[in-house]
Amino acid sequence: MPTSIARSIVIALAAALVVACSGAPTAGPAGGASATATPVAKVRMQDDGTTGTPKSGGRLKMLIRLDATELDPHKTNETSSYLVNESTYESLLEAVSGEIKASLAESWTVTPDGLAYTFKLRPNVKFHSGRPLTSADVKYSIERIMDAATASPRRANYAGINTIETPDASTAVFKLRTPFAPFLALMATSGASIVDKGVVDAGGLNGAVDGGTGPFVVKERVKGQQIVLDKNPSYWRSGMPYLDGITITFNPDDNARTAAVKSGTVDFLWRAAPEFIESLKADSNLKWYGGIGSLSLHMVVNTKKKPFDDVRVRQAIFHALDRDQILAVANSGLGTTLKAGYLPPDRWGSIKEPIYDRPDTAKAKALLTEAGYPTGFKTTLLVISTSAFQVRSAEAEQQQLKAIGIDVELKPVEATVANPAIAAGNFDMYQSGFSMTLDPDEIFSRAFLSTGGNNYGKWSDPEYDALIVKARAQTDRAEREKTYQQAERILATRGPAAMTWASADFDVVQKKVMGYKGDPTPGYRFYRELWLNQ
Amino acid sequence: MTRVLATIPVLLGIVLLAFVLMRLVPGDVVDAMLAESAQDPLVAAELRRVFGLDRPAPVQLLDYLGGLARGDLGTSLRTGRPVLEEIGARLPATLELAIAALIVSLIVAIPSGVISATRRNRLPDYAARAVSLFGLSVPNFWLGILLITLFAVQLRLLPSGGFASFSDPVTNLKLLIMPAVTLGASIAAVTMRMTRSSLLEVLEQEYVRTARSKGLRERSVIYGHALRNALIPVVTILGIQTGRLLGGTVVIEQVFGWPGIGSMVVRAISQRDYPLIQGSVVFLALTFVLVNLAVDILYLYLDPKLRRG
Repeated sequence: MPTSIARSIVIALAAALVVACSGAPTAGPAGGASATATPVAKVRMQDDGTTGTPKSGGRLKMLIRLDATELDPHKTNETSSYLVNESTYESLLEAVSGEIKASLAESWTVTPDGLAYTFKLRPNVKFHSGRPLTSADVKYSIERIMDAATASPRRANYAGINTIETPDASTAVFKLRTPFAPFLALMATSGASIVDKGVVDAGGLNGAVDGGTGPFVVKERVKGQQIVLDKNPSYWRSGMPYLDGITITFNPDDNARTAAVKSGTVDFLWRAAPEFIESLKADSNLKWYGGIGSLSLHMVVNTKKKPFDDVRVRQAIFHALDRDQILAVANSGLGTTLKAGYLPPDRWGSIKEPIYDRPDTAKAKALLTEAGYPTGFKTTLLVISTSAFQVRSAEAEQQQLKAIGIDVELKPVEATVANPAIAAGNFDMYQSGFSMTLDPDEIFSRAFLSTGGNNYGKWSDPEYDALIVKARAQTDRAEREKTYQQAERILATRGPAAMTWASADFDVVQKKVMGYKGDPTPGYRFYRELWLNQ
Repeated sequence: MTRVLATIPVLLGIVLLAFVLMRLVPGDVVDAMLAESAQDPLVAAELRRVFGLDRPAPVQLLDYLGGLARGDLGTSLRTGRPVLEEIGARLPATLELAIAALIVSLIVAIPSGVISATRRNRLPDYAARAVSLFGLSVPNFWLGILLITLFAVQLRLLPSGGFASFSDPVTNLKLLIMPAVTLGASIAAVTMRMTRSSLLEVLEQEYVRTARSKGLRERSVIYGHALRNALIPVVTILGIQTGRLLGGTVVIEQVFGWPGIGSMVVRAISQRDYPLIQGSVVFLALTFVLVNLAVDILYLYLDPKLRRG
């Protein structure tokens, strides 16, 4: 039964929060560490109450930070591209606030051994070129990601797929090598978009033409200036999209982006800068949404180097940090402190109770003494200089570690300098963050598994590894969550990283923009439901 | 002709410098592309092979110079489009902003410089000098934000930023006003100060005294005799400023979301898009050289003495 499977792999994330906070504006977020009620809602994912019947027509002017340099959904790893692609491309499935739903596949089944997934394609779906979608396109698209020549940054995630068979034009069967619980979540990402081979062959997917089936079509693309999306008139969801189109422009300057929405120059400001949230919230001409983010921040230590090879030194750091202060300094207090593992308490798989509620300097000093560093030590902290909030995080961490005698020298460098250094293990500590994924397996695996591609702390813990491998094969959702909570506890108490805080993202729109349905996953599929009340 | 030929080694040196500097900076385009994802060594190796980055640096350089000799600036590693096409796409916006800023600065600077010089140490002079000091010292981006806050957010007279194609001239001009004024302000300040001091110097010259003693009206002494000669150093300054206008407008481009060459180069540097960086540097250097050549030619017109020499 597809629905039961769907239910079984629901990634709850903040679904509860979304529901809880769609009520009165004074409602505080439910659950988690931020459960204290505040006069103004901290989280708001859609309009309160009824907003009337959607009207069709009008063009939305949207402002984002950076232009998308690579729009090929299989190749890109830019946020700007995900935002565009989730309106122009579709995958077999889609995730709405963590819940897996049908998209290009109208139904799916999985064999009891978890090794074969059969997808039935929706009839009457056409690519923007007008060509009907068939199972051959599904096979072509996923195999394109798996082909090393495509150089997809997510290729490794697809390694578990053995074969893709197409018994008929509307059926695709995926055979896996081993059971892989996150498989459906993977098929719901925009990275797994089904693309039009004709467009790939004619000039690739990074030109002025897209190869998708989505509610919007790329109409015009002027580098550094704008991406113009037009309504797809033959979209399979009848009546959608409501907008005639979306014109996306770019500006990396936080001040200028704030001014653009305040002045009415744009209708939709994507991800307002944290420093300006208060003033934007106070503007009576505007509406804001958000409060939940998708970026999880931390400070990783090199466990192959002294003194970080000693778990007591790592524990001393975990106890020394004041995460509330770091969040206040780094992001104006917007976001969630991470007082246990990398997942915020409102996400599926997380530990709900804090392990490091308040800093414990005495305990931290005792641990350092036990490890043989009674007077502390000198070390360095690498941080990406172009990310203001990460620099502020690092500065706060530097100050706090001084209290237990650890003398930290900050090394702010560009991302292109930091990343190879980190990958090569040339660091003592680095301040960083990762985007949380729809299914937590991806981060658990690639960042902390001893064989993980991003396990830059070179951490190895057989007990942790066994839990992550076990979780992949667990089809019972509740059981799987328990396994992740065990893994989180190991990470938090002896892992290679001090988790600090998770971001909060905010979108700000003009009053006339209706139909916003925030998705902290993050997701941008809801743009097809936006409409203008004018 | 010798001057034109002399630019070739200069350009070659610049290419070499850009090439070497970019490769001295740690991290390459593949690192930048895979920054956020699991570094799959197979994928990274494939990308480096496709981009030709697996070849020794001297081979890459020779290959690039060979292309350059044929007028081929290469292909952007991130967009796959020819570099010349990328520059061409950004050039109109950059030129429009540069020319508009130049016009704004001239309209403000020359008259105020003349007024300041002719009413030396009187109120108009003090006022003009104070304003120019402000224009000179205020950071570009701050003035830009100030204008946006006033004209876009408070008065809602102008859009806060962005760019419209020339097919929509009204919107295009509306969007041009604030960046042109912001950028023009700093150039106006320099130009005004130069006009003032140069004119003051010229007004001390004997031929001006002669003109005055001939009984010419002050107006024709200034505009007919003095100003033309006073403008020669101003033109030099403008030539240098024009070079700055083309490449150094990054901050203004960012604040106003103006899609020019400056912001493209900054993005290319952070992405380590070598061909695009090198191509843009060559292009900007060439433009700078050509502007200075034009300035030299303008001298001949302004100063007949140079025509014989």
